[in-house]
Amino acid sequence: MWRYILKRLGMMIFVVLGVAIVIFSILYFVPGDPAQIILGSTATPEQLAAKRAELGIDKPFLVQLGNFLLDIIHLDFGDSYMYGTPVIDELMVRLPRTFLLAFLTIVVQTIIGIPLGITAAVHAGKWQDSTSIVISLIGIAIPSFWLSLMAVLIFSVKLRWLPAFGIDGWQNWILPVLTGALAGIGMNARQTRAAMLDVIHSDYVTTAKAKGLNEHDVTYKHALPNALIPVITMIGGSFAMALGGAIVTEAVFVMPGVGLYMTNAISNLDYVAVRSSVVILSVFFSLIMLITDLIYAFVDPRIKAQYIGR
Amino acid sequence: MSKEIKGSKPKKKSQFAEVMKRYFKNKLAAASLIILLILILIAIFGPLIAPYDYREMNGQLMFAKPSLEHPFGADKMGRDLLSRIIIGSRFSLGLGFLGVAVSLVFGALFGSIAGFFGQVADNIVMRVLDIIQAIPGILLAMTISTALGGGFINTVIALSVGAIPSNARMLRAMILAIRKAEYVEAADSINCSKFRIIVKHILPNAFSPVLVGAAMGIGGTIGQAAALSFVGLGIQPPDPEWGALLADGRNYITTYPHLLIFPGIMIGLISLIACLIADGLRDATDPRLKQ
Repeated sequence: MWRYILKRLGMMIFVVLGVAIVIFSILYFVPGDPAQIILGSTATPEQLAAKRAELGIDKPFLVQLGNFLLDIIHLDFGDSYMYGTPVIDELMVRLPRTFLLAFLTIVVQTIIGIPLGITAAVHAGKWQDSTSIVISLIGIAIPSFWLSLMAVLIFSVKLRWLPAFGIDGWQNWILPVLTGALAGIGMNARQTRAAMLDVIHSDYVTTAKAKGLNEHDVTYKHALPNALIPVITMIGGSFAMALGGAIVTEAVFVMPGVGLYMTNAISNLDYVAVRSSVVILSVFFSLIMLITDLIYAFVDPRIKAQYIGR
Repeated sequence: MSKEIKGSKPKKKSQFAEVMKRYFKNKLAAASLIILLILILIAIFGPLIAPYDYREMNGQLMFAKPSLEHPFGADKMGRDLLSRIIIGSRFSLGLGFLGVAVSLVFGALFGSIAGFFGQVADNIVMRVLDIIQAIPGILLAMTISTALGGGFINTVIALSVGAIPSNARMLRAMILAIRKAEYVEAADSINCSKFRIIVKHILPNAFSPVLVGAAMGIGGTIGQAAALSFVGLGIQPPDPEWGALLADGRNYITTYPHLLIFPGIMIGLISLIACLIADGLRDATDPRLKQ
């Protein structure tokens, strides 16, 4: 098991460096001169040249890339062009907010989506099933940022129940989390239902029923634990979705997280801030996926067996 | 050889017909497919169908509420919203279909290379795909869109790159499973080239899961395109892509919500029918569900 964990950690470092290279290379082609952005339109050519040298952006591509990689290994993510402050300071304040949003979203979609899927599978073909299918389809179909806008319209503007923007109190989190979670509820319910149906139709469940065990025990003690194995991967995977959703949701609800920072940075051509945000979010995403895989390997004896003794 | 091909054709046709027959038994899926076809026709013939010029401004119609002459109302410059949504469907559907097509082609290419050309190629391709997959999709799309700028083709690229890894993985897994099959061994033994085996034997067999994924992907891609426009990337106003319409109307949400409601309903509708079509296709092509 330890060898597997170490191997996966090594892979992750490789992937993270790869992500840094890819993001750096893509943003290398952003049009516009950062020196001009920082100094403004009144700067003289000499000042611009000096600023470029200071930022290190007058060097060849590979040298810049090398410097960037060395810097991020030292956890130095550079200074934002917009604010002139270190990007890492800003991210340290904002990351927890974005993560809290993504985390709460995942919690809500898991505690609603999975029971919904189980109910649908257990009552396949009945009204519980159809209701669950309709809810999931609506959740998947409606774009979450549009749902957020409509929620603001109804609950903030018309009913005045909940605040429309900011993060001043716990009430501010209700709309972003619920609107963000609906799509995930749909996905979770669908996949749980599919996984559950797969298991319910498998041979050992038939055997268990044939032995005369009661229906309830077969469903919840035999079928459910096995159906939940693929669901674990799904929850890990939905982190990417929740994170991506949080980025856009923050733009709607004006929540000062990494997403709002990024969208502001994009419109200001502050690509130091953009690339650092993307790299850091990807690092955390990789970590979550790694943990998911480890949990998966731990709970599924078939996968665990592959790595024991290696 | 030619006899074989002749012999195999009618059988293929009957299988397709059977899948179609099973597909149309599912009424929701059938209705969704018909709605999709209608939407495609509307997009193609948009300029002929749209009741007004989508760019025509009319000071008297500024923020007009929905009425008989303007069923979806008009926007901040007095442009007819229905016409803008109709023309916008060319952007949204175009981005959805092209984005999925591009990611499928490259996914198939990388998946085939990884699945068919041995350990070294497999390792290189899969590690590169691992890297791309480690970047959450919308972030990758935002980054590429920032670098390339707006515009239709650039947005297609931004939307498709993130979907390449999952397509490639699916193709690779299928190739690894199929390449051991007897008929591929047979093709190999009569000296078929690898390219021919991939194109003639493996890809057609991988067709149905790819089709299901593509149907699902179109809705997702249109939603993602809208999200990109909404945060100020991708297609931008005054182009009437559905997300751009939302971005355009966003500031008037409290006073003129119709500017946001109608484009949003269109995005939701297309995602919903894409989902239902994908479900229908999956059930229709699943041999286990054959009765």
